[in-house]
Amino acid sequence: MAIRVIKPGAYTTVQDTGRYGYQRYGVPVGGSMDRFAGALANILCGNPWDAALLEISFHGTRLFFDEDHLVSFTGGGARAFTDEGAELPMNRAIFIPQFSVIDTRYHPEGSRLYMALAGGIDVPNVMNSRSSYPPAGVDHQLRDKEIYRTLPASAWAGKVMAELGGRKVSAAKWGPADPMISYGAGEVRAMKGPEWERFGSARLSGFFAGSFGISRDSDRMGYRLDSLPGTESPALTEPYEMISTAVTKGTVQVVPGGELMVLMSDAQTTGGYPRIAQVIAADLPLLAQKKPGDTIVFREVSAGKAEELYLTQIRDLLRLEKNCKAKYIG
Amino acid sequence: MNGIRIYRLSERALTIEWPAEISRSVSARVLGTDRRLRENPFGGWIENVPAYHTLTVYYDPVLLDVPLADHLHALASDANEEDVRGRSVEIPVLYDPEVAPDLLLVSAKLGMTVREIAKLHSSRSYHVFMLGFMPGFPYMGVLPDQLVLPRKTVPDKKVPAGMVAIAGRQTGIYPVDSPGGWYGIGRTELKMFENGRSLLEPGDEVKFIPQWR
Repeated sequence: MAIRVIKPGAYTTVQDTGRYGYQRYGVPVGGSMDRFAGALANILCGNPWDAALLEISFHGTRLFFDEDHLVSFTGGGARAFTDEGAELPMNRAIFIPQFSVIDTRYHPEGSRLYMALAGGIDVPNVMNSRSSYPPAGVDHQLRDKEIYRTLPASAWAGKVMAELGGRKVSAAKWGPADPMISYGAGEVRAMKGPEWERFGSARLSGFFAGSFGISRDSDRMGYRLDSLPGTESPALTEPYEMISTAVTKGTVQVVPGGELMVLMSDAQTTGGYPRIAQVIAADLPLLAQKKPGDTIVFREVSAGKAEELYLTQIRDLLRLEKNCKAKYIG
Repeated sequence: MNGIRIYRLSERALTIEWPAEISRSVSARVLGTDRRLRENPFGGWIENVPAYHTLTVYYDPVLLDVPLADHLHALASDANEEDVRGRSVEIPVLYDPEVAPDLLLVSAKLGMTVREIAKLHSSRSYHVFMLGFMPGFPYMGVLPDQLVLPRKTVPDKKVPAGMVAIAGRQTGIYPVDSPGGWYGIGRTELKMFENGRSLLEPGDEVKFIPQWR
């Protein structure tokens, strides 16, 4: 089964859960910016969580389906429509009949739409991952007229398709009861970073009390944050030459001049700027759905609480997956 | 006691930190601990990222089967200076202002001729402390004192692939065209990262071989 690209959109790439085992060679983990939405989309199509899917940043993608497919849309920033103008629901398994055209159009909340296809997208697995990362020679940004094939769908997905299937687009009635993550929220939780103590106590309050704007100069590697009026830029108590060490998704670095940089999915593996904070894993999906011009505030949580929130999020997804599977057994 | 600190980097990573210095003896402890963890991984282990004085251990908290901080502390504490030398790798370099225009600048700043810089830079073998910044970029050292320069205050927008560069006590090689703040003093035609493989690994010993046209 395959889809053909009629219009690639502003920036649509193939992503999965990331590339592990190569960070020691300087290769970023990468993968879906919104890991939660990526997993959810795959669950709804009966895929393993690490199946490759489309990350549609800023709408405008138009696809042709050459055969019947089972798909799902999660995340934000856009909504999917049929060529007859019918809006497709979010967070549901959706049957798409052969010869359909699907469009994505702007939606104010969020910034990245995920589209999973049953079976997952079949691009070559390079260094344990199908995620696009051009600097390592892996480029899966959608381009005009390209064809993307899928791997065989699971037996479960086959049953869902048989039930929903027909000649029209139709969405499953079941799926998560609530949005699971509220992408409109502006509060991002973080824990103190390894160099936190080096940012004088007088200014400490600035980070967790102030508000920050996502700069235009933001991408999959990282977001630059502008301190908004009334928010003091964090400053080191005394000059500090750091020796390069590992950094990761969610690491908040303070670059010379006091600007904040939050590392995102395509973060480099090491860095030499002091790390004032670490955005908690459970809130990275929320941050991933922010766009230039959005405002955020940071709220402090402990490392223990951060881990608990992360594990709760994973358990929520596991429970949802179990419930979905249970609907089509035997 | 032994100067080790373990801190949390994220919900999925702990970092073991040794004294903050760029030295072969600290690196030997980092790479020795790295090797023992990889030879005998705990449940949930994903990967290690060695750096100059730190080893960052990535893991899946759902699958974790040990009290991790204690486990890492024990492993790192009895890391003596092990023999962690990797392969010896020779890298041919053209030290020529035509392909490395910074050479003239470096020559003026250091008060040395291009030939002296080339001879000095290629006079010793360098330890690969870590890779980072981008796929295949090696952080090597330590440079002879006479070649130490601070990095550029304003980074270049585009440093070409294969540029052999210096900054502080370090020397490195740019794998692909990229922005960079180090002074380029030569070019190599070797590919630092190709088809999912890095030419160098942490622990390797690199010798630059001057090429003359």
